[in-house]
Amino acid sequence: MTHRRAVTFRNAAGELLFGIVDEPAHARSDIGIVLLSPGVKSRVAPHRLYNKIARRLVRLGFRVLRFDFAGLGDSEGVIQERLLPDLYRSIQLGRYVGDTLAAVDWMRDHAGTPRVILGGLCGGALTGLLAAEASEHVAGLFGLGMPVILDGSEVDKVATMSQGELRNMRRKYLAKVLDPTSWLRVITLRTDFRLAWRSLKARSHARRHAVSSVPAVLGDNGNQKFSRALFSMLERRRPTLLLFGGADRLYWEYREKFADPHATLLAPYADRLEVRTIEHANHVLTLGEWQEEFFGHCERWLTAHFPAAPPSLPSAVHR
Amino acid sequence: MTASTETPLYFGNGSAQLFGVLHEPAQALKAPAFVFCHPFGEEKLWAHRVFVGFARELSRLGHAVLRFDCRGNGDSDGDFSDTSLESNLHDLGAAVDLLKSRRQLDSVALLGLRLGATQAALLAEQRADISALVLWSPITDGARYMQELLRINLTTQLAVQGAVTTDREALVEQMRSGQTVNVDGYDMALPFYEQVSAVKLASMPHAYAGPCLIVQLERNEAAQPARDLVALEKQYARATLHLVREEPFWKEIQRFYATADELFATTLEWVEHA
Repeated sequence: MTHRRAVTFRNAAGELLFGIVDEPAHARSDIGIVLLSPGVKSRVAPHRLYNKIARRLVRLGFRVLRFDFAGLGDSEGVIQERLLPDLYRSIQLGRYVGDTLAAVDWMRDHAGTPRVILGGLCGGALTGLLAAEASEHVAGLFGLGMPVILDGSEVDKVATMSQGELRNMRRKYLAKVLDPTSWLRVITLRTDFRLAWRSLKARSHARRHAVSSVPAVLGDNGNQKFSRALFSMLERRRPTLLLFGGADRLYWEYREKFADPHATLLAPYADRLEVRTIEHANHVLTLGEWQEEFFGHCERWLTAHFPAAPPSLPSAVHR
Repeated sequence: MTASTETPLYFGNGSAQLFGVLHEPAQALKAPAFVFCHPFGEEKLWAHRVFVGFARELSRLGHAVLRFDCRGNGDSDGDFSDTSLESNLHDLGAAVDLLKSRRQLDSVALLGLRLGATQAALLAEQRADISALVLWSPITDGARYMQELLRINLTTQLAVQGAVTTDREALVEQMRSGQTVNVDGYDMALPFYEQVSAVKLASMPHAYAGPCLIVQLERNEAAQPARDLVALEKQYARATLHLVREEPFWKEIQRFYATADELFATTLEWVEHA
């Protein structure tokens, strides 16, 4: 038997935030979960992914809060950014850390859970990581499709593409070599020559790529807040699960711009940092089998790192 | 101008609990009160903030508004695979009943976007307590819309497998054999597909005789009135078709659409005079 209710609470700016709490009949009192909204898709997430995972987490005994950040979903607040990439950038730089801390406080004050695990997709995952750095009450984090680079309408997408993306583009270009319509696009100047050139020379570029020992995200648009927050999380011994769709460009970016160059620095934290990919899956896990795999990873990770206390036995029989 | 409140709530429709947000002006209510009908799947999520913004605008001007999620959508009970046009209309009817009873009203207005507009128009045929209809970019040809949704599945196949291995006919067969078809992560079943496919909004006779605003949303300034919407306008006794320049905010576009100024202005002006 589970119960669902609508809740509201205010952030530090006084804006009313709208959320939904799913809870089992006998919820764990030691720890709860807050799901953080991805991009502008609000507390249900693409194809109601958060509703689906909330149902699964409730079965494990967790009370789950998912809510809308200020200016999104049903919540109060105004967003000034006119373009999505600029809004995404502001989220990646911590726009919603305060709202997340307000949600953690709500869980402590109104749901009675002293510790909270944060979870989320994309910008929600990153917001969780940044908020964890600022809170003593965050016990762990699971993130799907964690972004390590910054978006923005001014960012040069071609110049900052990962090698994985370029490999993918190169495969597409080479597959079209014998297609007359593709050559028509070349002749009529409709081909993106800059992108084509970058993708074809990507291999040599990859070989020249130096491995850095500095724990920073590589590239002009690397989000250094991500790196700092992740290492803070790991140094504080907080379990962290990073999941990626195998076909998601964000996975390539994570690997190439952060994890591979810093493999040596990350190695000592192998007991608390787990990274998994869901083969062939896209960023939002469109297919049911991808979602199942995601749920399975989260359930196993939660059970391993945050086991429920065994039910206490009667200590003595009084006669 | 009045201050207003927004109350999230759950209300029952049979065994399903439906989620809604009720926007209420603090003082005397202006007619009509509105029930909003959301579009399909991811279109609902992309357009959500426009719905919220317009509900707040109406509420600020004294109108009550109920936004709600049909079962299998948003925060309401159920799985999408269990939904159909029939279940959506049933839920929309329950939302109308709720708003009428909460505010002690005899009638309400319906406002919908895309498939939500289509559902609003269909419910207005079934009930006598709908006082006004606002249809933002209604889907008039259900069969064509379903083909568009199936095309999304083909695009996913292409991205995942590098080729389309199950064409549209095979996808329909899949539904006929009791399976679902994935559209942007939503599992569509046969009842939804067949019932929406059967909708021919522009060619069916409409018994609803109240005022109706039909809005054609167009990115292109030089766009002409769409033939299907002109035909739809003619099916109603008191309909007005307006072309409004807005981007398709129910899709992923570069712009963050929190408000649709031209659409809001056109609709509010019509509401004031209807």
